[in-house]
Amino acid sequence: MLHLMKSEFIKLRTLRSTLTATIVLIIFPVAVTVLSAMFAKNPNETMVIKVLVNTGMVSLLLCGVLGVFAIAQEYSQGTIRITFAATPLRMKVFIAKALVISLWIVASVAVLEGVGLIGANYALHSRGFDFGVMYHATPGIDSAWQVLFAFGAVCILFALVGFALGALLRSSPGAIATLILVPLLVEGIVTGLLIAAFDIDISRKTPFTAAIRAVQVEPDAARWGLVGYFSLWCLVITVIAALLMKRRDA
Amino acid sequence: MINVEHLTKKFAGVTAVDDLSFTVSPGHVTGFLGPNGSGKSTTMRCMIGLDHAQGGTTTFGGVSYSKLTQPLHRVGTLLDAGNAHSGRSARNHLMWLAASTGISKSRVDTVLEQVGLSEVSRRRVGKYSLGMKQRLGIASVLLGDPEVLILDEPVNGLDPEGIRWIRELLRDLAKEGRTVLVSSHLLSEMALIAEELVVIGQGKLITQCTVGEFTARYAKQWVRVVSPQVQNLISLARAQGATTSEENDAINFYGVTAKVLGELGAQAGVVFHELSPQTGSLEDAFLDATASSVQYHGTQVEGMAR
Ligand SMILES: Nc1ncnc2c1ncn2[C@@H]1O[C@H](COP(=O)(O)OP(=O)(O)OP(=O)(O)O)[C@@H](O)[C@H]1O
Ligand SMILES: [Mg+2]
Repeated sequence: MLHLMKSEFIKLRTLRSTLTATIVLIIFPVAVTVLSAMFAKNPNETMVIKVLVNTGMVSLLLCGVLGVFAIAQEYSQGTIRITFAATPLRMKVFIAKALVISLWIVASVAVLEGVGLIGANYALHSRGFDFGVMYHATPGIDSAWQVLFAFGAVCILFALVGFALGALLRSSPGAIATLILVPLLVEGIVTGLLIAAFDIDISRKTPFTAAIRAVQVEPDAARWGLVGYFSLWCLVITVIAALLMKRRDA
Repeated sequence: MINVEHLTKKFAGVTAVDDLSFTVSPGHVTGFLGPNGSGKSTTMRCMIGLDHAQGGTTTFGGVSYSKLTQPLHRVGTLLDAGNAHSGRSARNHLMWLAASTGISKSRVDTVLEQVGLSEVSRRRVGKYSLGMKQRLGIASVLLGDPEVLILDEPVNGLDPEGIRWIRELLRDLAKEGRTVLVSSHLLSEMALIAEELVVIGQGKLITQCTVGEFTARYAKQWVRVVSPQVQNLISLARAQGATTSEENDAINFYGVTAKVLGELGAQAGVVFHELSPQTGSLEDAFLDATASSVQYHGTQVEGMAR
Protein backbone atom coordinates (compact mmCIF):
# COMPACT_ATOMS: atom_id res chain seq x y z
CA MET A 1 0.00 0.00 0.00
CA LEU A 2 2.85 2.41 0.77
CA HIS A 3 4.36 1.75 -2.66
CA LEU A 4 1.01 2.48 -4.26
CA MET A 5 0.57 5.66 -2.25
CA LYS A 6 4.01 6.85 -3.25
CA SER A 7 3.14 6.13 -6.87
CA GLU A 8 -0.09 8.12 -6.59
CA PHE A 9 1.78 10.96 -4.92
CA ILE A 10 4.25 11.11 -7.82
CA LYS A 11 1.31 11.23 -10.23
CA LEU A 12 -0.14 14.26 -8.41
CA ARG A 13 3.06 16.20 -8.05
CA THR A 14 4.24 15.69 -11.64
CA LEU A 15 1.22 17.27 -13.32
CA ARG A 16 0.94 20.97 -13.96
CA SER A 17 -2.85 20.90 -13.67
CA THR A 18 -2.83 19.52 -10.11
CA LEU A 19 -0.05 21.86 -9.02
CA THR A 20 -1.84 24.89 -10.44
CA ALA A 21 -5.13 23.96 -8.81
CA THR A 22 -3.35 23.45 -5.48
CA ILE A 23 -1.51 26.76 -5.62
CA VAL A 24 -4.66 28.68 -6.52
CA LEU A 25 -6.70 27.01 -3.80
CA ILE A 26 -4.11 28.11 -1.25
CA ILE A 27 -3.18 31.55 -2.53
CA PHE A 28 -6.62 32.94 -3.24
CA PRO A 29 -8.12 32.85 0.29
CA VAL A 30 -4.78 33.65 1.90
CA ALA A 31 -4.29 36.75 -0.23
CA VAL A 32 -7.82 38.06 0.28
CA THR A 33 -7.70 37.40 4.03
CA VAL A 34 -4.36 39.10 4.58
CA LEU A 35 -5.37 42.05 2.41
CA SER A 36 -8.59 42.53 4.33
CA ALA A 37 -6.70 42.36 7.63
CA MET A 38 -4.38 45.04 6.30
CA PHE A 39 -7.03 47.40 5.05
CA ALA A 40 -10.35 46.75 6.82
CA LYS A 41 -11.61 49.78 8.77
CA ASN A 42 -12.81 48.01 11.91
CA PRO A 43 -11.30 44.57 11.91
CA ASN A 44 -12.24 41.95 14.47
CA GLU A 45 -11.56 38.27 15.01
CA THR A 46 -14.77 37.05 13.40
CA MET A 47 -14.21 39.08 10.27
CA VAL A 48 -10.87 37.43 9.53
CA ILE A 49 -12.26 33.92 9.86
CA LYS A 50 -15.32 34.91 7.82
CA VAL A 51 -13.22 36.21 4.94
CA LEU A 52 -11.01 33.16 5.04
CA VAL A 53 -13.88 30.71 4.92
CA ASN A 54 -15.98 32.63 2.42
CA THR A 55 -13.15 32.98 -0.06
CA GLY A 56 -12.43 29.37 0.82
CA MET A 57 -15.55 28.39 -1.16
CA VAL A 58 -13.37 28.70 -4.25
CA SER A 59 -10.84 26.40 -2.59
CA LEU A 60 -13.62 23.97 -1.79
CA LEU A 61 -14.53 23.65 -5.44
CA LEU A 62 -10.87 23.37 -6.39
CA CYS A 63 -10.50 20.50 -3.92
CA GLY A 64 -13.29 18.78 -5.82
CA VAL A 65 -11.52 19.52 -9.09
CA LEU A 66 -8.33 17.96 -7.71
CA GLY A 67 -10.32 14.86 -6.79
CA VAL A 68 -11.68 14.71 -10.33
CA PHE A 69 -8.22 15.11 -11.86
CA ALA A 70 -6.79 12.33 -9.70
CA ILE A 71 -8.85 9.76 -11.54
CA ALA A 72 -10.56 11.18 -14.63
CA GLN A 73 -7.27 12.16 -16.26
CA GLU A 74 -6.11 8.58 -15.92
CA TYR A 75 -9.05 7.48 -18.00
CA SER A 76 -8.79 10.25 -20.58
CA GLN A 77 -5.05 9.72 -21.01
CA GLY A 78 -5.15 5.93 -20.90
CA THR A 79 -2.76 5.61 -17.97
CA ILE A 80 -5.46 3.78 -16.00
CA ARG A 81 -4.67 0.70 -18.07
CA ILE A 82 -1.05 0.79 -16.97
CA THR A 83 -2.10 1.46 -13.40
CA PHE A 84 -4.45 -1.53 -13.36
CA ALA A 85 -1.97 -3.74 -15.20
CA ALA A 86 0.60 -3.00 -12.50
CA THR A 87 -1.95 -3.46 -9.70
CA PRO A 88 -4.78 -5.76 -10.76
CA LEU A 89 -6.51 -5.34 -7.38
CA ARG A 90 -8.41 -2.22 -8.37
CA MET A 91 -9.81 -1.69 -4.90
CA LYS A 92 -6.26 -1.18 -3.63
CA VAL A 93 -5.66 1.45 -6.30
CA PHE A 94 -8.93 3.15 -5.41
CA ILE A 95 -8.08 3.30 -1.71
CA ALA A 96 -4.50 4.46 -2.31
CA LYS A 97 -5.75 7.24 -4.55
CA ALA A 98 -8.42 8.32 -2.08
CA LEU A 99 -5.91 8.35 0.79
CA VAL A 100 -3.27 10.30 -1.14
CA ILE A 101 -5.72 12.90 -2.41
CA SER A 102 -7.06 13.31 1.15
CA LEU A 103 -3.57 13.79 2.57
CA TRP A 104 -2.77 16.21 -0.23
CA ILE A 105 -5.86 18.24 0.69
CA VAL A 106 -5.06 18.10 4.42
CA ALA A 107 -1.60 19.51 3.74
CA SER A 108 -2.92 22.20 1.39
CA VAL A 109 -5.67 23.28 3.79
CA ALA A 110 -3.20 23.34 6.70
CA VAL A 111 -0.99 25.69 4.70
CA LEU A 112 -4.00 27.75 3.61
CA GLU A 113 -5.36 28.21 7.13
CA GLY A 114 -1.96 28.52 8.80
CA VAL A 115 -0.50 31.09 6.43
CA GLY A 116 -3.82 32.93 6.16
CA LEU A 117 -4.19 33.33 9.93
CA ILE A 118 -0.57 34.05 10.71
CA GLY A 119 -0.49 36.58 7.88
CA ALA A 120 -3.72 38.20 9.07
CA ASN A 121 -2.46 38.30 12.67
CA TYR A 122 0.76 39.88 11.59
CA ALA A 123 -1.11 42.48 9.58
CA LEU A 124 -3.42 43.28 12.52
CA HIS A 125 -0.56 43.55 15.01
CA SER A 126 1.46 45.78 12.77
CA ARG A 127 -1.57 48.10 12.56
CA GLY A 128 -1.57 48.32 16.35
CA PHE A 129 -4.59 46.15 17.08
CA ASP A 130 -3.90 44.25 20.24
CA PHE A 131 -5.84 41.11 19.39
CA GLY A 132 -4.95 38.10 17.29
CA VAL A 133 -7.49 35.87 15.68
CA MET A 134 -6.97 32.85 17.87
CA TYR A 135 -5.95 34.50 21.10
CA HIS A 136 -9.41 35.15 22.46
CA ALA A 137 -12.49 33.07 22.61
CA THR A 138 -13.95 34.26 19.35
CA PRO A 139 -17.15 36.16 20.02
CA GLY A 140 -20.18 35.32 17.96
CA ILE A 141 -19.27 31.82 16.86
CA ASP A 142 -18.83 28.56 18.68
CA SER A 143 -15.08 28.60 18.17
CA ALA A 144 -12.71 29.63 15.42
CA TRP A 145 -11.05 26.27 15.67
CA GLN A 146 -14.29 24.47 15.01
CA VAL A 147 -14.88 26.47 11.84
CA LEU A 148 -11.36 25.81 10.64
CA PHE A 149 -11.57 22.07 11.29
CA ALA A 150 -15.00 21.85 9.71
CA PHE A 151 -13.64 23.69 6.68
CA GLY A 152 -10.78 21.19 6.40
CA ALA A 153 -13.18 18.26 6.70
CA VAL A 154 -15.50 19.63 4.03
CA CYS A 155 -12.51 20.24 1.72
CA ILE A 156 -11.53 16.57 2.02
CA LEU A 157 -15.12 15.48 1.44
CA PHE A 158 -15.38 17.68 -1.66
CA ALA A 159 -12.19 16.10 -2.98
CA LEU A 160 -13.65 12.64 -2.38
CA VAL A 161 -16.91 13.54 -4.10
CA GLY A 162 -14.91 14.87 -7.04
CA PHE A 163 -12.87 11.70 -7.03
CA ALA A 164 -15.98 9.52 -7.03
CA LEU A 165 -17.60 11.60 -9.80
CA GLY A 166 -14.39 11.39 -11.84
CA ALA A 167 -14.34 7.62 -11.43
CA LEU A 168 -18.00 7.34 -12.43
CA LEU A 169 -17.97 9.71 -15.39
CA ARG A 170 -14.35 9.12 -16.50
CA SER A 171 -14.17 12.62 -17.93
CA SER A 172 -12.80 15.72 -16.25
CA PRO A 173 -15.17 18.22 -17.91
CA GLY A 174 -18.23 16.13 -17.11
CA ALA A 175 -17.28 15.53 -13.50
CA ILE A 176 -16.25 19.16 -12.89
CA ALA A 177 -19.48 20.43 -14.43
CA THR A 178 -21.47 18.13 -12.15
CA LEU A 179 -19.45 19.21 -9.17
CA ILE A 180 -20.08 22.90 -9.80
CA LEU A 181 -23.61 22.80 -11.15
CA VAL A 182 -25.14 20.57 -8.48
CA PRO A 183 -24.26 22.80 -5.51
CA LEU A 184 -24.72 26.09 -7.32
CA LEU A 185 -27.83 25.36 -9.36
CA VAL A 186 -29.42 21.95 -9.20
CA GLU A 187 -29.95 21.75 -5.46
CA GLY A 188 -31.51 25.20 -5.37
CA ILE A 189 -33.78 24.51 -8.32
CA VAL A 190 -34.93 21.14 -6.99
CA THR A 191 -35.58 22.65 -3.56
CA GLY A 192 -37.54 25.52 -5.07
CA LEU A 193 -39.61 23.25 -7.30
CA LEU A 194 -40.47 20.89 -4.47
CA ILE A 195 -41.59 23.76 -2.28
CA ALA A 196 -43.67 25.29 -5.04
CA ALA A 197 -45.26 22.06 -6.22
CA PHE A 198 -45.66 19.94 -3.11
CA ASP A 199 -44.86 22.27 -0.27
CA ILE A 200 -42.03 19.95 0.75
CA ASP A 201 -38.95 21.69 2.12
CA ILE A 202 -35.76 19.75 1.54
CA SER A 203 -33.53 22.79 1.90
CA ARG A 204 -32.02 21.34 5.06
CA LYS A 205 -31.37 17.98 3.42
CA THR A 206 -29.59 18.79 0.17
CA PRO A 207 -26.01 17.53 0.54
CA PHE A 208 -23.92 20.37 -0.87
CA THR A 209 -26.00 23.05 0.80
CA ALA A 210 -25.48 21.18 4.06
CA ALA A 211 -21.73 21.06 3.46
CA ILE A 212 -21.54 24.77 2.81
CA ARG A 213 -23.68 25.60 5.84
CA ALA A 214 -21.35 23.50 7.96
CA VAL A 215 -18.58 26.04 7.49
CA GLN A 216 -20.60 29.22 7.98
CA VAL A 217 -19.22 31.55 10.63
CA GLU A 218 -22.27 31.73 12.83
CA PRO A 219 -23.34 29.94 15.97
CA ASP A 220 -24.72 26.74 14.62
CA ALA A 221 -24.78 23.79 16.94
CA ALA A 222 -25.49 21.55 13.94
CA ARG A 223 -22.07 22.16 12.37
CA TRP A 224 -20.74 18.64 12.88
CA GLY A 225 -24.12 17.10 12.22
CA LEU A 226 -24.07 18.74 8.80
CA VAL A 227 -20.53 17.52 8.15
CA GLY A 228 -21.65 14.02 9.15
CA TYR A 229 -24.68 14.24 6.88
CA PHE A 230 -22.53 15.30 3.92
CA SER A 231 -20.03 12.50 4.64
CA LEU A 232 -22.85 9.98 4.40
CA TRP A 233 -23.58 11.19 0.89
CA CYS A 234 -19.87 11.05 0.08
CA LEU A 235 -19.66 7.53 1.41
CA VAL A 236 -22.56 6.35 -0.73
CA ILE A 237 -21.27 7.86 -3.97
CA THR A 238 -17.71 6.70 -3.21
CA VAL A 239 -18.80 3.12 -2.59
CA ILE A 240 -20.83 3.11 -5.82
CA ALA A 241 -17.82 4.50 -7.70
CA ALA A 242 -15.51 1.88 -6.20
CA LEU A 243 -17.81 -1.01 -7.04
CA LEU A 244 -18.32 0.19 -10.60
CA MET A 245 -14.61 0.76 -11.08
CA LYS A 246 -14.07 -2.86 -10.17
CA ARG A 247 -16.72 -4.15 -12.54
CA ARG A 248 -16.29 -2.01 -15.62
CA ASP A 249 -13.76 -2.55 -18.40
CA ALA A 250 -10.77 -0.27 -18.00
CA MET B 1 4.10 -19.85 -21.24
CA ILE B 2 0.71 -18.28 -21.89
CA ASN B 3 -2.45 -20.36 -22.10
CA VAL B 4 -5.59 -18.78 -23.48
CA GLU B 5 -8.64 -21.01 -23.25
CA HIS B 6 -12.09 -20.41 -24.69
CA LEU B 7 -11.83 -16.64 -24.28
CA THR B 8 -15.06 -14.86 -25.18
CA LYS B 9 -15.71 -11.12 -25.03
CA LYS B 10 -18.90 -9.44 -26.15
CA PHE B 11 -19.59 -5.71 -26.34
CA ALA B 12 -23.25 -4.76 -26.51
CA GLY B 13 -24.18 -6.90 -29.48
CA VAL B 14 -20.69 -7.35 -30.96
CA THR B 15 -18.73 -10.51 -30.26
CA ALA B 16 -15.17 -9.21 -30.40
CA VAL B 17 -13.50 -12.41 -29.22
CA ASP B 18 -15.24 -15.72 -29.85
CA ASP B 19 -14.22 -18.87 -27.96
CA LEU B 20 -10.56 -18.21 -28.68
CA SER B 21 -7.91 -20.68 -27.50
CA PHE B 22 -4.18 -20.65 -28.17
CA THR B 23 -0.86 -21.08 -26.41
CA VAL B 24 2.30 -19.01 -26.52
CA SER B 25 5.53 -20.77 -25.66
CA PRO B 26 8.82 -19.29 -24.50
CA GLY B 27 11.97 -19.15 -26.60
CA HIS B 28 10.62 -17.56 -29.74
CA VAL B 29 8.45 -14.65 -30.81
CA THR B 30 4.81 -15.50 -31.48
CA GLY B 31 2.96 -13.28 -33.92
CA PHE B 32 -0.68 -12.49 -33.18
CA LEU B 33 -2.20 -11.76 -36.53
CA GLY B 34 -5.56 -10.61 -37.70
CA PRO B 35 -7.15 -7.95 -39.90
CA ASN B 36 -8.39 -4.65 -38.42
CA GLY B 37 -11.16 -5.17 -35.93
CA SER B 38 -10.53 -8.90 -35.60
CA GLY B 39 -10.18 -8.62 -31.82
CA LYS B 40 -6.42 -8.60 -31.21
CA SER B 41 -6.38 -5.65 -28.84
CA THR B 42 -9.51 -6.85 -27.07
CA THR B 43 -7.95 -10.29 -26.56
CA MET B 44 -4.85 -8.70 -25.06
CA ARG B 45 -6.89 -6.51 -22.71
CA CYS B 46 -8.87 -9.56 -21.59
CA MET B 47 -5.69 -11.56 -21.05
CA ILE B 48 -4.47 -9.14 -18.39
CA GLY B 49 -7.87 -8.52 -16.88
CA LEU B 50 -8.37 -4.94 -18.07
CA ASP B 51 -11.53 -6.01 -19.89
CA HIS B 52 -13.69 -8.59 -18.20
CA ALA B 53 -14.25 -11.55 -20.51
CA GLN B 54 -17.66 -13.21 -20.48
CA GLY B 55 -16.01 -16.59 -20.61
CA GLY B 56 -12.68 -18.37 -20.72
CA THR B 57 -9.38 -18.08 -18.91
CA THR B 58 -5.85 -16.87 -19.51
CA THR B 59 -2.98 -18.18 -17.42
CA PHE B 60 0.67 -17.23 -17.24
CA GLY B 61 2.67 -20.26 -16.15
CA GLY B 62 -0.57 -21.65 -14.75
CA VAL B 63 -1.55 -18.51 -12.83
CA SER B 64 -4.17 -16.00 -13.89
CA TYR B 65 -2.99 -12.40 -14.22
CA SER B 66 -4.93 -11.06 -11.26
CA LYS B 67 -3.31 -13.72 -9.03
CA LEU B 68 0.27 -12.79 -9.97
CA THR B 69 2.03 -11.33 -6.96
CA GLN B 70 4.11 -8.76 -8.81
CA PRO B 71 2.62 -8.56 -12.28
CA LEU B 72 5.12 -5.99 -13.59
CA HIS B 73 7.93 -8.44 -12.90
CA ARG B 74 6.12 -11.29 -14.59
CA VAL B 75 4.25 -9.82 -17.55
CA GLY B 76 5.09 -6.63 -19.44
CA THR B 77 2.31 -5.22 -21.58
CA LEU B 78 2.30 -2.53 -24.25
CA LEU B 79 -1.10 -1.29 -25.37
CA ASP B 80 -1.98 1.80 -27.40
CA ALA B 81 1.44 3.44 -27.75
CA GLY B 82 2.27 3.37 -24.07
CA ASN B 83 -0.76 5.16 -22.63
CA ALA B 84 1.31 7.91 -21.05
CA HIS B 85 -0.11 11.24 -19.80
CA SER B 86 0.80 13.95 -22.29
CA GLY B 87 1.53 16.45 -19.51
CA ARG B 88 4.13 14.33 -17.76
CA SER B 89 7.74 13.71 -18.73
CA ALA B 90 8.75 10.23 -19.81
CA ARG B 91 10.94 9.91 -16.74
CA ASN B 92 8.15 10.88 -14.35
CA HIS B 93 5.83 8.49 -16.16
CA LEU B 94 8.21 5.62 -15.50
CA MET B 95 8.85 6.89 -11.97
CA TRP B 96 5.29 6.47 -10.80
CA LEU B 97 5.05 3.11 -12.50
CA ALA B 98 8.28 1.98 -10.86
CA ALA B 99 7.21 3.30 -7.46
CA SER B 100 3.97 1.33 -7.57
CA THR B 101 5.89 -1.93 -7.24
CA GLY B 102 9.01 -0.71 -5.52
CA ILE B 103 11.29 -0.70 -8.57
CA SER B 104 14.35 1.55 -8.10
CA LYS B 105 15.05 4.89 -9.77
CA SER B 106 18.23 3.53 -11.31
CA ARG B 107 16.19 0.90 -13.16
CA VAL B 108 14.15 3.74 -14.69
CA ASP B 109 17.33 5.32 -16.05
CA THR B 110 18.54 1.95 -17.32
CA VAL B 111 15.42 1.29 -19.40
CA LEU B 112 15.35 4.87 -20.68
CA GLU B 113 18.91 4.31 -21.86
CA GLN B 114 17.96 0.97 -23.38
CA VAL B 115 15.18 2.44 -25.54
CA GLY B 116 17.23 5.51 -26.45
CA LEU B 117 15.15 8.15 -24.69
CA SER B 118 17.66 9.29 -22.04
CA GLU B 119 18.32 12.60 -23.75
CA VAL B 120 14.67 13.56 -23.99
CA SER B 121 13.41 11.86 -20.84
CA ARG B 122 12.56 15.15 -19.12
CA ARG B 123 10.49 16.44 -21.99
CA ARG B 124 6.70 16.16 -21.80
CA VAL B 125 5.27 13.11 -23.54
CA GLY B 126 2.81 15.36 -25.38
CA LYS B 127 5.75 16.66 -27.42
CA TYR B 128 6.84 13.14 -28.42
CA SER B 129 6.42 11.63 -31.85
CA LEU B 130 4.46 8.39 -32.15
CA GLY B 131 7.72 6.49 -32.47
CA MET B 132 9.07 8.02 -29.28
CA LYS B 133 5.86 7.14 -27.46
CA GLN B 134 6.24 3.55 -28.66
CA ARG B 135 9.77 3.54 -27.26
CA LEU B 136 8.46 4.85 -23.96
CA GLY B 137 5.88 2.06 -24.03
CA ILE B 138 8.66 -0.47 -24.58
CA ALA B 139 10.57 1.07 -21.67
CA SER B 140 7.58 0.54 -19.38
CA VAL B 141 7.35 -3.06 -20.57
CA LEU B 142 11.02 -3.67 -19.79
CA LEU B 143 10.87 -1.90 -16.42
CA GLY B 144 10.07 -5.00 -14.37
CA ASP B 145 12.32 -7.29 -16.45
CA PRO B 146 9.34 -9.62 -17.09
CA GLU B 147 9.55 -13.14 -18.50
CA VAL B 148 6.40 -12.63 -20.55
CA LEU B 149 5.94 -9.74 -22.98
CA ILE B 150 2.67 -8.80 -24.68
CA LEU B 151 2.87 -6.03 -27.26
CA ASP B 152 0.03 -4.59 -29.31
CA GLU B 153 1.29 -3.32 -32.67
CA PRO B 154 4.63 -2.10 -31.31
CA VAL B 155 6.02 -1.15 -34.72
CA ASN B 156 3.16 1.27 -35.36
CA GLY B 157 4.65 4.67 -36.08
CA LEU B 158 8.27 3.56 -36.07
CA ASP B 159 10.65 4.37 -38.89
CA PRO B 160 12.59 1.57 -40.62
CA GLU B 161 15.48 1.94 -38.19
CA GLY B 162 13.08 1.75 -35.25
CA ILE B 163 11.36 -1.27 -36.74
CA ARG B 164 14.68 -3.07 -37.09
CA TRP B 165 15.55 -2.10 -33.50
CA ILE B 166 12.31 -3.56 -32.16
CA ARG B 167 12.67 -6.67 -34.26
CA GLU B 168 16.13 -7.36 -32.85
CA LEU B 169 15.13 -6.46 -29.32
CA LEU B 170 12.18 -8.85 -29.35
CA ARG B 171 14.18 -11.65 -30.92
CA ASP B 172 16.91 -11.21 -28.32
CA LEU B 173 14.38 -11.20 -25.50
CA ALA B 174 12.82 -14.39 -26.85
CA LYS B 175 16.26 -16.00 -27.22
CA GLU B 176 16.83 -15.39 -23.51
CA GLY B 177 13.93 -17.78 -22.96
CA ARG B 178 11.15 -15.23 -22.57
CA THR B 179 7.64 -15.59 -23.92
CA VAL B 180 6.84 -12.89 -26.46
CA LEU B 181 3.45 -12.24 -28.07
CA VAL B 182 3.32 -9.45 -30.66
CA SER B 183 0.21 -8.41 -32.53
CA SER B 184 0.11 -7.00 -36.02
CA HIS B 185 -2.15 -6.84 -39.03
CA LEU B 186 0.84 -7.14 -41.37
CA LEU B 187 2.02 -10.68 -42.02
CA SER B 188 5.10 -9.54 -43.93
CA GLU B 189 6.25 -7.69 -40.82
CA MET B 190 5.51 -10.65 -38.57
CA ALA B 191 7.28 -13.10 -40.85
CA LEU B 192 10.50 -11.22 -40.10
CA ILE B 193 10.12 -11.36 -36.32
CA ALA B 194 7.98 -14.34 -35.46
CA GLU B 195 8.51 -18.05 -35.76
CA GLU B 196 5.07 -19.04 -34.60
CA LEU B 197 1.77 -17.49 -35.66
CA VAL B 198 -1.64 -17.22 -34.04
CA VAL B 199 -4.01 -16.05 -36.76
CA ILE B 200 -7.51 -14.82 -35.93
CA GLY B 201 -10.43 -13.41 -37.88
CA GLN B 202 -13.62 -11.97 -36.39
CA GLY B 203 -12.48 -13.03 -32.95
CA LYS B 204 -12.11 -16.69 -33.91
CA LEU B 205 -8.93 -18.69 -34.23
CA ILE B 206 -8.09 -19.43 -37.85
CA THR B 207 -4.89 -21.29 -37.21
CA GLN B 208 -1.90 -21.58 -34.92
CA CYS B 209 1.23 -22.83 -36.62
CA THR B 210 4.76 -21.87 -37.63
CA VAL B 211 5.35 -19.30 -40.33
CA GLY B 212 6.57 -22.10 -42.65
CA GLU B 213 3.49 -24.22 -42.08
CA PHE B 214 1.27 -21.22 -42.63
CA THR B 215 2.87 -20.55 -45.99
CA ALA B 216 2.68 -24.20 -46.97
CA ARG B 217 -0.95 -24.43 -46.01
CA TYR B 218 -2.34 -21.15 -47.23
CA ALA B 219 0.06 -19.86 -49.87
CA LYS B 220 -0.84 -20.71 -53.45
CA GLN B 221 1.65 -23.07 -55.12
CA TRP B 222 1.87 -23.54 -58.86
CA VAL B 223 4.26 -24.48 -61.61
CA ARG B 224 5.33 -22.10 -64.33
CA VAL B 225 6.06 -23.63 -67.68
CA VAL B 226 7.49 -22.19 -70.90
CA SER B 227 7.50 -24.64 -73.76
CA PRO B 228 6.91 -24.65 -77.54
CA GLN B 229 4.61 -27.70 -77.15
CA VAL B 230 2.76 -26.35 -74.15
CA GLN B 231 -0.70 -27.15 -75.63
CA ASN B 232 0.20 -30.85 -75.49
CA LEU B 233 1.20 -30.55 -71.89
CA ILE B 234 -1.98 -28.66 -70.99
CA SER B 235 -4.24 -31.44 -72.23
CA LEU B 236 -2.12 -34.09 -70.50
CA ALA B 237 -2.18 -32.16 -67.20
CA ARG B 238 -5.90 -31.43 -67.40
CA ALA B 239 -6.51 -35.14 -67.75
CA GLN B 240 -4.78 -35.40 -64.34
CA GLY B 241 -7.15 -32.81 -62.86
CA ALA B 242 -4.86 -29.79 -63.06
CA THR B 243 -6.02 -26.29 -63.98
CA THR B 244 -4.06 -23.70 -65.93
CA SER B 245 -3.83 -20.01 -66.56
CA GLU B 246 -1.90 -17.97 -69.05
CA GLU B 247 0.69 -15.44 -68.04
CA ASN B 248 2.46 -13.63 -70.89
CA ASP B 249 4.48 -16.31 -72.69
CA ALA B 250 4.17 -18.81 -69.86
CA ILE B 251 1.46 -21.09 -68.59
CA ASN B 252 0.78 -21.57 -64.87
CA PHE B 253 -0.27 -25.06 -63.78
CA TYR B 254 -2.24 -25.48 -60.55
CA GLY B 255 -2.92 -28.71 -58.68
CA VAL B 256 0.03 -30.55 -60.13
CA THR B 257 3.68 -30.76 -59.08
CA ALA B 258 6.71 -29.88 -61.22
CA LYS B 259 7.85 -33.50 -60.92
CA VAL B 260 4.63 -34.86 -62.45
CA LEU B 261 4.66 -32.22 -65.20
CA GLY B 262 8.27 -33.05 -66.05
CA GLU B 263 7.52 -36.75 -66.34
CA LEU B 264 4.37 -36.18 -68.38
CA GLY B 265 6.35 -33.91 -70.68
CA ALA B 266 9.18 -36.41 -71.09
CA GLN B 267 6.77 -39.18 -72.08
CA ALA B 268 5.16 -36.92 -74.71
CA GLY B 269 8.47 -35.53 -75.97
CA VAL B 270 7.75 -31.99 -74.79
CA VAL B 271 10.69 -29.58 -74.76
CA PHE B 272 10.85 -27.37 -71.62
CA HIS B 273 12.35 -23.88 -71.71
CA GLU B 274 11.22 -23.36 -68.16
CA LEU B 275 9.70 -25.57 -65.47
CA SER B 276 9.67 -23.81 -62.12
CA PRO B 277 7.63 -24.27 -58.91
CA GLN B 278 6.19 -20.98 -57.57
CA THR B 279 4.88 -19.92 -54.16
CA GLY B 280 2.48 -17.04 -53.63
CA SER B 281 3.38 -14.18 -51.32
CA LEU B 282 2.80 -14.36 -47.60
CA GLU B 283 0.52 -11.37 -47.83
CA ASP B 284 -1.71 -13.22 -50.30
CA ALA B 285 -1.71 -16.25 -48.02
CA PHE B 286 -2.83 -14.10 -45.11
CA LEU B 287 -5.53 -12.46 -47.18
CA ASP B 288 -6.76 -15.89 -48.30
CA ALA B 289 -6.73 -17.28 -44.77
CA THR B 290 -8.68 -14.37 -43.34
CA ALA B 291 -10.74 -13.52 -46.42
CA SER B 292 -14.00 -14.94 -45.12
CA SER B 293 -13.57 -13.17 -41.82
CA VAL B 294 -12.52 -9.68 -42.78
CA GLN B 295 -14.84 -7.33 -41.00
CA TYR B 296 -14.40 -4.16 -42.96
CA HIS B 297 -14.25 -4.91 -46.65
CA GLY B 298 -13.31 -1.99 -48.83
CA THR B 299 -16.21 -1.29 -51.13
CA GLN B 300 -15.39 -0.50 -54.70
CA VAL B 301 -16.62 2.82 -55.99
CA GLU B 302 -18.96 2.06 -58.89
CA GLY B 303 -17.50 4.36 -61.48
CA MET B 304 -13.97 3.21 -60.80
CA ALA B 305 -14.79 -0.45 -61.22
CA ARG B 306 -15.64 0.06 -64.86
N1 LIG C 1 -14.78 -0.83 -25.77
C1 LIG C 1 -15.44 -1.33 -26.83
N2 LIG C 1 -16.77 -1.18 -26.94
C2 LIG C 1 -17.44 -1.69 -27.98
N3 LIG C 1 -16.88 -2.39 -28.99
C3 LIG C 1 -15.55 -2.58 -28.94
C4 LIG C 1 -14.76 -2.06 -27.87
N4 LIG C 1 -13.47 -2.42 -28.09
C5 LIG C 1 -13.47 -3.11 -29.23
N5 LIG C 1 -14.71 -3.21 -29.76
C6 LIG C 1 -15.07 -3.93 -30.99
O1 LIG C 1 -14.48 -5.19 -30.93
C7 LIG C 1 -13.96 -5.56 -32.21
C8 LIG C 1 -12.48 -5.90 -32.08
O2 LIG C 1 -11.74 -4.72 -31.85
P1 LIG C 1 -10.18 -4.74 -31.56
O3 LIG C 1 -9.78 -3.34 -31.28
O4 LIG C 1 -9.90 -5.75 -30.51
O5 LIG C 1 -9.58 -5.23 -32.92
P2 LIG C 1 -8.06 -5.27 -33.40
O6 LIG C 1 -7.83 -6.61 -33.95
O7 LIG C 1 -7.17 -4.83 -32.30
O8 LIG C 1 -8.03 -4.21 -34.58
P3 LIG C 1 -6.85 -3.24 -35.08
O9 LIG C 1 -5.97 -4.04 -35.97
O10 LIG C 1 -7.60 -2.20 -35.84
O11 LIG C 1 -6.16 -2.72 -33.89
C9 LIG C 1 -14.26 -4.41 -33.13
O12 LIG C 1 -15.43 -4.73 -33.84
C10 LIG C 1 -14.50 -3.25 -32.22
O13 LIG C 1 -15.43 -2.37 -32.79
MG1 LIG D 1 -5.82 -3.18 -32.09
